[in-house]
Amino acid sequence: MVRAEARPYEVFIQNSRQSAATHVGSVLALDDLLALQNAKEVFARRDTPVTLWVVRRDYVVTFGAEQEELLRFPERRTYRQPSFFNRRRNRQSDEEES
Amino acid sequence: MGVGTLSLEDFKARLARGHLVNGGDAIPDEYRDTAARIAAFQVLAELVGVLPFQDWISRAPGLTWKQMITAKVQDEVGHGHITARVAEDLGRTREQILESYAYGDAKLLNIFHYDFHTWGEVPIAGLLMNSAALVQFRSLAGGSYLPYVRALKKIMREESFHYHLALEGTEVLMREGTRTQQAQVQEGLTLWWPRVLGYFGPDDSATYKDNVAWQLRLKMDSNDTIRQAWISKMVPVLRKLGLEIPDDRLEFDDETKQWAFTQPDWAEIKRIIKEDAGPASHRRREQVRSAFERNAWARPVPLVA
Repeated sequence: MVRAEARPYEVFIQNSRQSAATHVGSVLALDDLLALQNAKEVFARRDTPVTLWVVRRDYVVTFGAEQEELLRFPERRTYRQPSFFNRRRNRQSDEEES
Repeated sequence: MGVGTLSLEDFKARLARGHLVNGGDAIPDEYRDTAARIAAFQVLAELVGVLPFQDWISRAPGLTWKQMITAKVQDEVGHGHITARVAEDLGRTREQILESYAYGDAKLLNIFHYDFHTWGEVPIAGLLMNSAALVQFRSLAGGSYLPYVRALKKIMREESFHYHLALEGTEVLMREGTRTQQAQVQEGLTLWWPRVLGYFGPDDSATYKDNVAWQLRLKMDSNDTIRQAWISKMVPVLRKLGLEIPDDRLEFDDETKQWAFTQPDWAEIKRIIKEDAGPASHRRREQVRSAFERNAWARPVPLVA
């Protein structure tokens, strides 16, 4: 007989077909099926989600707070933001006026 | 980068500037311990606090009320699971939390040391307790530990259902109940008003900023600020129900914008919490102990090899 260790699973809920799945919390469970069952009981008792996902936490690959720098938008590439063009147009019209 | 190199004082300063902490972030031990203690305390409040309501599932009048109380009990147990997950990720297992109450000396809030004696008492006591919890959670939800904040937001949504359930229960009794039932509701308010005032803890407005939980942005307001918010919320609700709040000194001071009220008996509250001196204190611990032992076989469910 093998005794299983309970593991954390992250829980995601998709509330309508149009919306993206959202992380709502986690459950502790001995296996995938029990994790789904727990997640349904804890997070989906009131609503009518379209899908409910559980993912073993150790299977989730992340850039976390420790790598915040890697996720920061590089300031020198402001031309990748839509607002860049607004600012450019404003600058040009300012120059024309002066 | 990382917080490993940050001293506790630096971390407090960061929190004071509005830094919020996510699950898995590096945090100082003191932050971890304080957040775990708060989450664990709430696990017990949810799981043990629901027992007086569970007692009334079989006694509630009619199927509808039985179903509704069952739903509330399920929700509260769910809240226990959600807060237990927060505590577990901070290093405290739910077994440890339950054991600390069943066999250890973990303390319960004063309001969980009592039983309900009549059906008339159940909705009004529920109304006072739910509204108090909501005001308390609203304050805590401004805190710095995001996994707990997210848990609270989910919990508040369901607590709001419980609040309306309790309000409806009280209204029905006041509108359609017998004189005896109406008297039970009033008697329930008289009993539970001072208990719920006591739930928020003694006035700490002069000292709460010395509290490490406040410095770590895990406790957001003084006890009295939260208590005042609760009184403001509930006085009009209770008066509209036709109930009399058992306090001659209760009055809103227009200048200070504060309610004057009679303090509950703090020595008695302290004794009840510290010495398990409430009428239901021992039975409650015994209930949890026996459930914990009865269900022991199911916890490490064996997998078929």
